Amino acid sequence: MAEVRRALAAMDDTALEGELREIASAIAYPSAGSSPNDIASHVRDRISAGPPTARPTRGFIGWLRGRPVRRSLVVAIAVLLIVVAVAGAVGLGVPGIRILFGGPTAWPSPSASVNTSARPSATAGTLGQSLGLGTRVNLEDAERLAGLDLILPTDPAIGPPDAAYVFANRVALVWGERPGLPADPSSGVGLLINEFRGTVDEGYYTKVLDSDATVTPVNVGDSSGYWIGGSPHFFFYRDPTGQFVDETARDVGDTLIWNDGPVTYRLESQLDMDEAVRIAESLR
Amino acid sequence: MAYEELVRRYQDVAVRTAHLISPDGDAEDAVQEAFVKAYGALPRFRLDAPFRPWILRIVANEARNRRRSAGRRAGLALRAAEDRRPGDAAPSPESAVLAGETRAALLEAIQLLRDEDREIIGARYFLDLSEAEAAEALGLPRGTVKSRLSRALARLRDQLSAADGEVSRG
Repeated sequence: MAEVRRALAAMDDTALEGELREIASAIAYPSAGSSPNDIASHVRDRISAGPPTARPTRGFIGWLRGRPVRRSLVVAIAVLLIVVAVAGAVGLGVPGIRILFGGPTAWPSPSASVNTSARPSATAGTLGQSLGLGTRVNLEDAERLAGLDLILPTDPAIGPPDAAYVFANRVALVWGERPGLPADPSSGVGLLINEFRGTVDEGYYTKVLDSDATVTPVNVGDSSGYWIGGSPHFFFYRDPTGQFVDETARDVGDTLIWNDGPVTYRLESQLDMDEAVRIAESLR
Repeated sequence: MAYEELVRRYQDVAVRTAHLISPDGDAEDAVQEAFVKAYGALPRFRLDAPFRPWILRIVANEARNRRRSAGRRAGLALRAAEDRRPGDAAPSPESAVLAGETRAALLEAIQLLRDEDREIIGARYFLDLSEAEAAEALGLPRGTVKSRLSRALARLRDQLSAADGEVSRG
């Protein structure tokens, strides 16, 4: 043992680092728990029981003070807030992110059906159909069914959408390729705008974004929103049975999301942030 | 509940972090408390920040609180798992003994380091955090990680070359 210690002590930094990394996997850690009494379950139970009992007041936590965690917020976050469906990696949809932000109440996602449904190639008649956006309807029906006053891009080069879909209170508007709107090769979609009742709140994003995603606060006219770029590594969607599905492995791209009063808008395309904001600001 | 899945994803690295920071503390308890606090703090989580070092920092603080409240560390809780891991090639008896002694010697010496040295070594080599992540998780200025690590390695060498009786616990 003494010889081993002497040999280790004689190593340079690189060699010693190598030895340390070597033993990393051999360290006996306490188990994080398997089922059912693992940490995640305990945390869920404690959160479900009410707001945190200990208000953070010191140290690192101290700076977090300032916004009491109201029960309503806790409940709001407890439901599914973000839904991610498909991405270019699986040949479904635009290479842009498809995130659905739920409002304060849970609402189901149509996206799960996409995973098992056929994936027709895009044609003028079926544009967006492979994206699992809901039931195809005309614009008037979309407004009526979703209870929304839809707003559309005013740029004549973009024109009216090629297709509209409704699911629950969400309307999805789909455009094919246009001048300045390159189409996604797999779906043929150049622009996808979702409009739905719900709110954009920082808290909704934070729990799903991981290292490679960037979120940039932006202004869309008088409204505030976020530009989400890169590859969010931690997204979920909820399938119709209520199960959370981890979309972590999927490639997702860029999206612009903002809200105006009770309505949230999400715009996905292959455009950069400035171009996306320009289209967003043109919606009337 | 999406957050539960998030916890599940990070609970292993969180427990490891807590254990390295407070080997004698109740790592699972610290982690559970940290995740509950983090949940309440989510609305204030910086949008452009990665999640892992953020949650690890809360975990680290919880673990430190337990370390402080537990007073002096009582024993050697940082240890190697027994023998080989599944899937390892069967080593010769000699190399197995040597590897076992190397592990034991390193872990004993690390255990005897001051907290800040053990934390930085654990973060970089055992948890394999990047310098930036280690800085965030441990609450250090990013520019100081390298120098702290270098000093920690130097003290680890000192510990290893210290008199046998001082570090040997059988």
